[in-house]
Amino acid sequence: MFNLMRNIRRQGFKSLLVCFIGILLTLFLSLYLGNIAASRKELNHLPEVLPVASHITNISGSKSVGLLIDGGLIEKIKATNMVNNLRYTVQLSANFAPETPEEELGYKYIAIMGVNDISAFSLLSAEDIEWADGVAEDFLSGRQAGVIVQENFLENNDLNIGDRVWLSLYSIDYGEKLNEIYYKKIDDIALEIVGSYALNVTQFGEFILPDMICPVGWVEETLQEYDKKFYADSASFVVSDPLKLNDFKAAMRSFGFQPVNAQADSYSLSGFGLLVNDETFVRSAGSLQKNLTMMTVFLPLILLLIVLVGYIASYLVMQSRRSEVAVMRSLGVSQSRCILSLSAENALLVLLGCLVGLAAAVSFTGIGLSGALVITAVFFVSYMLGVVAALLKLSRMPVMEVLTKSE
Amino acid sequence: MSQTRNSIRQMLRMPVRTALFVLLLAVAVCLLALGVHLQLESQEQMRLIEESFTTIGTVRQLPNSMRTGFQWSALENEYQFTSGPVYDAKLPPTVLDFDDANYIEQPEQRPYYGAYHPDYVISDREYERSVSNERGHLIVEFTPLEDCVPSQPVKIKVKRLLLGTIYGDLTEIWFMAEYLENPPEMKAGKTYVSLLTTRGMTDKETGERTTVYLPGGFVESTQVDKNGKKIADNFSSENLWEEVTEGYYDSLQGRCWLNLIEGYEKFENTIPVTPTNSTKLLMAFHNGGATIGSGRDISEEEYRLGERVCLIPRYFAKNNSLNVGDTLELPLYFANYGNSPSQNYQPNGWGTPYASPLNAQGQVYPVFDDGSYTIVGIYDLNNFAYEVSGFDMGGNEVVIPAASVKNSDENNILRYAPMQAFNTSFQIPNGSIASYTEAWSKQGISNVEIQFYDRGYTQIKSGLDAMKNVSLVLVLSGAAATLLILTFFTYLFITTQKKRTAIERSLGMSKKSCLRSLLSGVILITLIGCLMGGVLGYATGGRVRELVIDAGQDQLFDTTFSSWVNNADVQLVLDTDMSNPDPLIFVLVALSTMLIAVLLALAGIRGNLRSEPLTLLSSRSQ
Amino acid sequence: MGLIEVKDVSYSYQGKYQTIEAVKNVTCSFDEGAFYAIVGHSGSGKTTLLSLLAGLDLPTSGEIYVDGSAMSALNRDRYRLKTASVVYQSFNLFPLLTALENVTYPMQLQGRSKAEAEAVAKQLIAEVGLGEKIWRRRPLMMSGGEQQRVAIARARAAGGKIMLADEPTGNLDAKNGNMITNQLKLLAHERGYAVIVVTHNEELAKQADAVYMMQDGQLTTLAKEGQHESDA
Repeated sequence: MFNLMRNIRRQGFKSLLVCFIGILLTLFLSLYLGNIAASRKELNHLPEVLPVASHITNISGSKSVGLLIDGGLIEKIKATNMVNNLRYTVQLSANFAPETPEEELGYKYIAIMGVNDISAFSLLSAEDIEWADGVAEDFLSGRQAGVIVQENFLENNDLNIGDRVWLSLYSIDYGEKLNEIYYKKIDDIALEIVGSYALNVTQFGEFILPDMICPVGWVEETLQEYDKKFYADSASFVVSDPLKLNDFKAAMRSFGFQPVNAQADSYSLSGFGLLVNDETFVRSAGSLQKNLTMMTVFLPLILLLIVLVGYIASYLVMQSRRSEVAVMRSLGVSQSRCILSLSAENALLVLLGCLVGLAAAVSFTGIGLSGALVITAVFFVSYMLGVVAALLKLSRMPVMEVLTKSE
Repeated sequence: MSQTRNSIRQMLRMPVRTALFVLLLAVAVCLLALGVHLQLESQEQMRLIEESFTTIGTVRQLPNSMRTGFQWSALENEYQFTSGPVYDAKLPPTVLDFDDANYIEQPEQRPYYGAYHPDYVISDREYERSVSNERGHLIVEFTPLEDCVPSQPVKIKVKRLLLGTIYGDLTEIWFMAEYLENPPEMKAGKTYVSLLTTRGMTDKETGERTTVYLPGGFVESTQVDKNGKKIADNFSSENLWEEVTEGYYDSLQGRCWLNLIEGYEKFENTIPVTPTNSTKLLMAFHNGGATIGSGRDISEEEYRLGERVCLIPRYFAKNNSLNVGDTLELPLYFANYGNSPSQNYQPNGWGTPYASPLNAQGQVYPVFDDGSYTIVGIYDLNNFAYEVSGFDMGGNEVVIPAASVKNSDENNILRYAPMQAFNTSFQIPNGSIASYTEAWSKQGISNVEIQFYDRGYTQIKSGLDAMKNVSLVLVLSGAAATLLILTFFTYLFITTQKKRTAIERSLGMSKKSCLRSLLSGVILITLIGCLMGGVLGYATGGRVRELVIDAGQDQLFDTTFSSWVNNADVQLVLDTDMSNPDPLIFVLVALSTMLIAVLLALAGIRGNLRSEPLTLLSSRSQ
Repeated sequence: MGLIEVKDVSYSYQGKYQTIEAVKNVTCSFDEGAFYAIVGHSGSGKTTLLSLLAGLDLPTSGEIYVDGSAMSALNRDRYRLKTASVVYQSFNLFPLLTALENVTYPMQLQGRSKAEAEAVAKQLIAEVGLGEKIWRRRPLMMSGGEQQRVAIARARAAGGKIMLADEPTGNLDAKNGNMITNQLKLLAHERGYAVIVVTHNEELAKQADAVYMMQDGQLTTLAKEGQHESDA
């Protein structure tokens, strides 16, 4: 195997060609795999960029608040690990508890909402709440009795943070076609004012915040104590892994949720409809998925073709050095030494080509090292198989015939 | 012909090498063609991803300063702080015209128009609306039970209900001039007319809760011109209540009260109509809060030509039994540049503009544009009610092409504000936020705030760009590899035929004939190889496509519950289909490869022909 | 016993339609220090015989002995590397190597250092009548005569004692052909090589010490001038 470099140099054009074939085909294969890797990476990155939000509605999709969402459904949703940021609320009404039952007002003028997190209202944030001393900011996610009250309401009713108020608490129901409101009394309950909140809503207007906000967990517990069923009036959440959207939807179906049907009764308040805002995610992820599937399914074919190109090209390159091999054999170079020598030349060239191609591909696509090595190996092996096959064939050729016949 | 036969014969005398070359060519063409096919498919997927994003910029003119003041509150018995923005000048959307802006949709400052028709069913809660205090407007004739100064709640007797309802149908109600520090005296027995609003009040001593009626507005006009300048009128009064005397309603003031009543009645049966140049410019559609469930969107051409077509909300469609294809009368009678429809109209259809229904002449605004609009699409609302973005659609909001409004609204503007995010927006190409911002900053306009919404495109752009670049380089490297292989094997085939060329020349064949002789063989071989490759590529591409479709089935995203497909009309089934390999690609690749092979062969043969035959024949080159 | 003894050697191969007996029962011997010519028309089997003598193939039957050892027992590559060399009609120099590199090639195969090999190669090149100018030239830059002389130098470089030549003057003009013939004769008579030349060239054959005739695969001894058949 002496004078390997000299031979490579002297082959000139052929050596360059072998090298370039190695570069280009390795580059091609690397880029192909890099494209697959990039698609996969983008796909995995999508959930961060395109969160999928969902909320419960009535069956016609016309209402998303003021619903009757079975508490059991809420529990089921909580129990799956497929959702994040579950926010659910309940609407209650109240009056200040009357001195005597006869004084009980027909009109319930205090609006109370039970929530599990202040972010259930997009217009309110933690900074808008002033808490009483010793009250933790995660108060609303707990089950303690207590309320935070709108500042205006505090002022109008001469109340302060820390006061205890007696409230006659009612759950709300609506009659047919929402024409009537029914109040179902829960009980007269004393609640401590643990904080206050205020918000200037004039910029967007119209949305009226409740007078009081309490932990929905406390409402659930209280209703349970009084043997009353809990219904949430709204629920929203974010799908934790949008890539497993189908599993999430299957789970929701198994819970009894149904797709929204605009033609259905829009007066219905049963919270069995589910809306998932997944258009951008599904379109983007769907396209990426398609791209990935396409590239992955085509991969074996592409690999086969490249292997074939490598094998045939190397075979033909070796065949073109037929007379050189014959002279070497005639000069006494053994068959094995011939094969080794020429194989080494080609191995060096094609390996160099593969490495350059790989380097270009890695810098371009960021394909991983293990993938890179696999690609190098595949192409290298296919190329060298062609070289060895050709040399084996050449070694069986009649040397004298080759050297004495004129081409 | 004989030359061709000779040529072929000689090539067939090297059967293995010739066959391998043909095979190699076929494989290279197959690989390249499949690479091109995949690249085109990949490009298509990238395009679909791009299309699912749009980049919208909203525009808000910032106030130059804030006006502050104090407002008396009789209920609180104190002055309360108020503030409001002050604008030195109201900038038109044309300030956003500059080079390098590269708009897809030009900035537009949208009003919403009020359309009134007595047959509109505004809400499915008409009964509740009719009895609710929240209906909006209450105009009564009343008389105080005794002489009084209503700086505190006083009892009044309702003589005539001119507009609205009083909860409980009470005839005696509490009245107080909330915002006047020194209200004038009212005399018992005299009749007054006033526009009232309600406030809940708790008696601090007794703890009793009651409703107080407050005089809430003047007889006035809020009409402005198209620059937002108030148009003077000759009837506005700052009296919160007026005394009704004999023939009062024949006077200018009295007639204005009657017009006011008529105007507010119209307001209560008015739906907001938004004129725009593109549905995408409406943020609710952009962020998925509103999606077209039945029919289709208004097309670009319809927007451009100002066709009389519209999109209506499902709620309005159901209440009015309207379907896609039906026509809707839209008599437009006012323009509001100062509010968004969602600020004035609740999802249940209730609402009213924060403005007077009287123009500067004291009349109800006349219709300035009237047309029959064909409903092309019905949209559904998907937003979560507690998730208020400020960009929601208003109750009963209808969308029409701006160009469909043929007549000017400049004499019907009842409220104006400078550009606000909810009514001024534009569209730029995805991924161009940075370049736009840079170009915009050079304009030196500091009191305009622009916010961009691209649904997350910026965060995936670099990844998509990288994939596109990789795809392109993939095809290029495949093409280069094919070219390289072609070069080498043309070299092998042609330059090693030098001796043959020399013999042919020495036998008397002309250069042209020698060229034809060699070339014909090359053409035939490359034709076979390239066609084989093309056919092989096409066949395998088709077969593998089936595998792709099958493989993709498990990965299809379920569109059940999806807000953008989920209603009775539209059934969208996402598919895993990839397009059939386009035979044209394979033909073009095969032909191009063949052409290049022939050109390379030609170059090689010409090289051979340059040498003198005898020199070649006695050549020692091997 | 001669340096090379050919004992009842036959060689046949499978042609397209039939088995071809290229060499039939050939018995002969070749001594060192002698210049032999094998003549015969094309297809007579002389090149095949040469190929067998070069160890490029083995006889189908019979045996060839080189210096007492059977060819079939020898490492034939080693044989060609160290003992026998072949010179061809079309020279068969490595086209991409210079004259010097062509000549050093066999020596480097034997493991000799580059410096040593070059020194010997230069000497050998000089011995075939070529100057320094030829050292760095590639075959394309040489005349036919020069190439063949370099081929002879290369053939000598292995250091063996058997020189086989297949139509060595076939591609040369008369002048160069004579030059090559003289070189071969020199090798035989002065260097002690057993030089065996396959040729059509009557002039060359006349200069051989002994002439064999191949006809249809069979070898017969042709009488040399002044010699009887039985003496060959």
